[in-house]
Amino acid sequence: MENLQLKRRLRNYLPKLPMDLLKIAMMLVFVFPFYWMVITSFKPYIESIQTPPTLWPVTFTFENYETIFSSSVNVWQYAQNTVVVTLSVIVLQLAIMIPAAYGFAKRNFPLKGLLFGVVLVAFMIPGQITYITTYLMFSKARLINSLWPQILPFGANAFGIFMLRQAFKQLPDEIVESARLDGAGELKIMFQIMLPMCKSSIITIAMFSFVDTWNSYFWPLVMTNSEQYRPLTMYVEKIRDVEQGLDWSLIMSANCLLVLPVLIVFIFASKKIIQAFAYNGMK
Amino acid sequence: MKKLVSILLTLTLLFSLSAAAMAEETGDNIVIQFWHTRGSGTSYEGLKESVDNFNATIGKEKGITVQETFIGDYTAIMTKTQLSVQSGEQPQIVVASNTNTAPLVEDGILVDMMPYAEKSGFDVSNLMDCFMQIYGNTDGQLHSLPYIRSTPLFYYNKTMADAKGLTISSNPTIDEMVEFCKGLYEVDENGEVLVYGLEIVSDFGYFQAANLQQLGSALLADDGMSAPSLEDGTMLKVLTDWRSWVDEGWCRSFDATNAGDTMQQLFFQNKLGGFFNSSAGMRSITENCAEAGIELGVTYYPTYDAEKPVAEIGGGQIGIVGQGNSEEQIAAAWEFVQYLMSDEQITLTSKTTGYLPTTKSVANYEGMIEFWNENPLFKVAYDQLLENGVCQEKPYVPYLQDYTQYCADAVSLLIQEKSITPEEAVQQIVDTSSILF
Repeated sequence: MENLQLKRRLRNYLPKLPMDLLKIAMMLVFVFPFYWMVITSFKPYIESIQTPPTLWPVTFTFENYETIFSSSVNVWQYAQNTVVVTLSVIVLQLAIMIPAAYGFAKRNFPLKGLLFGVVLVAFMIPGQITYITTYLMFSKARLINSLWPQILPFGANAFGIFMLRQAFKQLPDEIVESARLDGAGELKIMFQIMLPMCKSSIITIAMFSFVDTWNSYFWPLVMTNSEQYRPLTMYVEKIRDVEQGLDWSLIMSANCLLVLPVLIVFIFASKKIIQAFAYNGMK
Repeated sequence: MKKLVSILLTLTLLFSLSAAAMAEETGDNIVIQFWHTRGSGTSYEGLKESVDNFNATIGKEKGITVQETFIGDYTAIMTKTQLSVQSGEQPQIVVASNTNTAPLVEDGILVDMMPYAEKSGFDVSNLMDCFMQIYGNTDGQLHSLPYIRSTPLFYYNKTMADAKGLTISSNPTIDEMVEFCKGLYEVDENGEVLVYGLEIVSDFGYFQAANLQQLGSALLADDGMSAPSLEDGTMLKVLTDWRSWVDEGWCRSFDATNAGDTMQQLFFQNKLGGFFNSSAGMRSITENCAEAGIELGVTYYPTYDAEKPVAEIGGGQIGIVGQGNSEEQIAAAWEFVQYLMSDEQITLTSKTTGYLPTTKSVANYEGMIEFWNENPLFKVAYDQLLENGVCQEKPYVPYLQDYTQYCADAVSLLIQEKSITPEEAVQQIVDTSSILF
């Protein structure tokens, strides 16, 4: 009897097997580079360049991490800059994005269509085009040697405004109207009624901003002239001292430090991201 | 909970704004921004030590604070310097590759330091003669000083050579090196290569240019209007030799990407017997060899003609940015540059990297002598520079980079793909570079 059940289960499962194998293969393709990064960070240099490579460190060492934290290079300064810039950008974006998206979704005002078009244009223009003009602007304002150029230009997030507007638009106008009838002001409607219903979208946008800003490399490279204001990504570049040879195990340790917070945030926020795309019909 | 989150976010913003606005405490000191290319490891530690020592001694006494910033490689520092000068955010001191120094001088970015040298009694004649041949340092001017200069050497696995009873002289000819490397070459019973004898990477301005000069020719004429080696057969000889070594199997073809790094990795795994590399890598190579249990051997850069040894000098010069900086800043910057040229600092730079000691007097400096006695391999590059007088500064040709790229393209087909003959490679260089002449 049990054998029969087992056979039936197997028969039902067999058609799904190729798809599951494909999923596992796909997963390995994506996970392996991360795995490689982590194990290389625990290998001594000579083992990290060995061919054929070892899939698990033969000599397990924390030496690379010790080197990072004991070096004259103040890695904490880089980390602090990254955290400050990333959180500041997210806070600023939310402060600007929520009222803007609410206005475009639920309020009527002159030139609304044109202004929303401007937002969309900003969304479409590649950032690279604005590098030189923005650099000159901050240079004239004598702000290059500070964290400002890494924060202010990203205060308004056109993609976020667009996405959050779509989320607000999906909520029935009747909710807003009944709240008004009950005497709620615009701020109350926006923050206490609309926002909780769009939590998934907000988290998703914040998550994208977090990843974008955390991993930002080229912009800080252009906009900073001092290590006092440089983020972690530039620390990784700093230890790629080509003339002295590439130390892959050290580079991978720095990469682990850089990537770890992003992974943690993603693990916690992944469900909300899927929800947000599902609700917005963007999947 | 919501309130707590809001408070935290607001505090973060406020903190960030205050941090952003915060200027580094330097008191009334003149702040000198020093842009460099030494990012990590002992190289950076050495640089940091120089800066910290200066700030704690001369800087403290004269009211100068030097702030160092790693910018990137030579290309990055060049681009960034040009951009910063346009926007008024320029540093006071910058390190530029020897080939990038000329454009900075031509654009009027680097200041002539000779008046400052004369005023402070800095002995320019103490610099090794070849460094005064660089563009901007002739005709009694001094636009840059040799800071992190290097020269190519032949590195080999001495442990392996000793085991096979092979020896090589300290200033070998190409023929001697070929025999030596053939001896290091090993294959198994199936013909699979266990150890390559030699690998050469394509770096025409550094390695191959020297080979051409050893043969009595030049990569480019002094006026930059022709490439003599394409017409006198020397380029053909260098390429023919290289290709035949690769065809014979004992010389490994270089990789398409990260060639220099991959080459060294093979060396540390006892899969490569010898290679050409800059003296700048001496520190990391000796450290990695020690970790891998390899005794390292080093010779001068091998020459085609024993009577005419030649090795290029590469690496970085240091200069003071004149544009946009005040007289007071330039004078303060000179204090630091002058300090870096002291025997003590030159010794420190050489010890922590492998870059060439750049003065004559450093050979008699106690700290240097002591270091060389303990680490004789670090002296080989200096001896090559000093004894043979072989190291030469390249003439300034604006399109040197374009030309070397044309050469590299042809060599890629010749050595890596083996899809063209040496004659076709020379013809390809002639055709593609015709636009330059």
